[in-house]
Amino acid sequence: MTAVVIIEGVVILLLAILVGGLLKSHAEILRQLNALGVSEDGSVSVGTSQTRPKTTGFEKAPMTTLSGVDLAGGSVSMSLDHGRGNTLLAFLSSGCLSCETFWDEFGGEFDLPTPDTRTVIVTKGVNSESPSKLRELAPSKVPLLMSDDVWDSFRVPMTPYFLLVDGTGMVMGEGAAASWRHLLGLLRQSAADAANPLHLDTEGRRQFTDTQLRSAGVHPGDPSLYENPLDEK
Amino acid sequence: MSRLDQSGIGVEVPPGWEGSISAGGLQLLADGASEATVMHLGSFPLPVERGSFGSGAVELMNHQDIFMVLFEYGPDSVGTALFAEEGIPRNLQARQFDRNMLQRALPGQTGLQQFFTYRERAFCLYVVLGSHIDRADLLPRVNSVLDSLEIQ
Repeated sequence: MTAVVIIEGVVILLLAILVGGLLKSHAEILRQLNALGVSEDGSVSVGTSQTRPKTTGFEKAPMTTLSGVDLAGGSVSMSLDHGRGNTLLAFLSSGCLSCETFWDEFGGEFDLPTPDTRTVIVTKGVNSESPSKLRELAPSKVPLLMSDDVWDSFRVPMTPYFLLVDGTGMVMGEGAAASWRHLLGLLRQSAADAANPLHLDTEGRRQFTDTQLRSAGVHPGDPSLYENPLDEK
Repeated sequence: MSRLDQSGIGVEVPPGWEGSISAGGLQLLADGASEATVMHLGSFPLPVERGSFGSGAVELMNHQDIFMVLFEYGPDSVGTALFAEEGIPRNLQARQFDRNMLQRALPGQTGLQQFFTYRERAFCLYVVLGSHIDRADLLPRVNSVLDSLEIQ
C-alpha cells in the first residue's frame, strides 16, 4: 500500500512538473506572438511591426525596387511603385509549417479582398533557402523572388509575414497571419485603414494626403491647390 | 535604379520598371534544342507567365508603356545574313518603328525588331511601344535603357 502511495505521489509530481512546463512554454509563445503583433485569438495587428521602428503607420516601404533571383537562377527586378494597383508581399519559407497553407492557397485560384492586388512571394536567398524544395512548393502563377537583401530591408520578423503596399510604394498594412482567414482579415483591415487616415498622426495624415494627391495627378505647386472653392460658379 | 546582371548581359532598370534576365545561357536541352538567354524589361508590372517575345505582357500595356526584349540566338546564327549588323543598337529613331514589326499586333501599339551580332553573340532586340502616335515621346526612355545595356 505504501509503495502504491509513493508511486502515485511520484506520478502526480511528474505530471505537475509537466503541466508547469507546458504552461510556461505556452506563456512564452503568447508573449512572443504578442510582441509580433498577433493577439491570443489569432488576429493580427496592422501598421508597423514592433520589431521595426514605428513611425506613422502609413509609411514608405523600406525599398521599392526588389532585386533577387528566380527559381531558374535568373536575375529579377520588381517594382512596388509602378503606379498601378497594390502589391501583397508574402514572406514565406520552405521549412515553416505555418507557411504550408499559404503555399497551397497561392497555388490555386484565390481572390484577395483588396482589388487589383498582385501577390509576390519573397523567400530568403539561395544561400539560406532550398531552391529544389521551393520548386516543389512554388505556384506557377505567382512570381517568386529569392533575396536576402529584400528580407533584411523589410526586417521580416517571422514567417509567414505579409505586407500590403500600394502603387506608390506606401505600406498600407503588415503583420503575421497564422491562417488564410487571418490573412484576408489583415488585408481587409489594411484597406479600410488606408482609406481612413483618422488613425494616423499629423505626419501620417500629411503623407497620406500627399499620396492621394499624387495618385490623382496633383503635384506640389499645382494651381488647383490654390483655388478658392467659393470662387467657383 | 537597380541593375540586372546575368549571362553576360547587364542593364540598368529605371525606377518603376521591372525586368528579368534568364539564366538560360544557351544550355543544350535533352531534345537537342537550346534554351535561350532572354532579357525582359517593362515599364509596368510584368506577369509571371509571359512568352519570350512578350505574349501575356504586351496585352497589359497602356499607351505610355514600353516593353523591351533582348533574345539571344545560338552560335550557329553568328555570321549569317540576318545577324550581319554589328554592335548593340542605340539611339533608336521614331521612323524605325512600325506596327507590322509587332509579334502580336494590338491596337495602337508599335514595334521594332533589330537583329545584330556583338562579341560573337547573336541577338534580336525587340521593342514594343504602347502608342505608335506617341513613339517619339516614348523613345528617350528606350534609348536611356539601351545606353546602359552591356554585353560581355
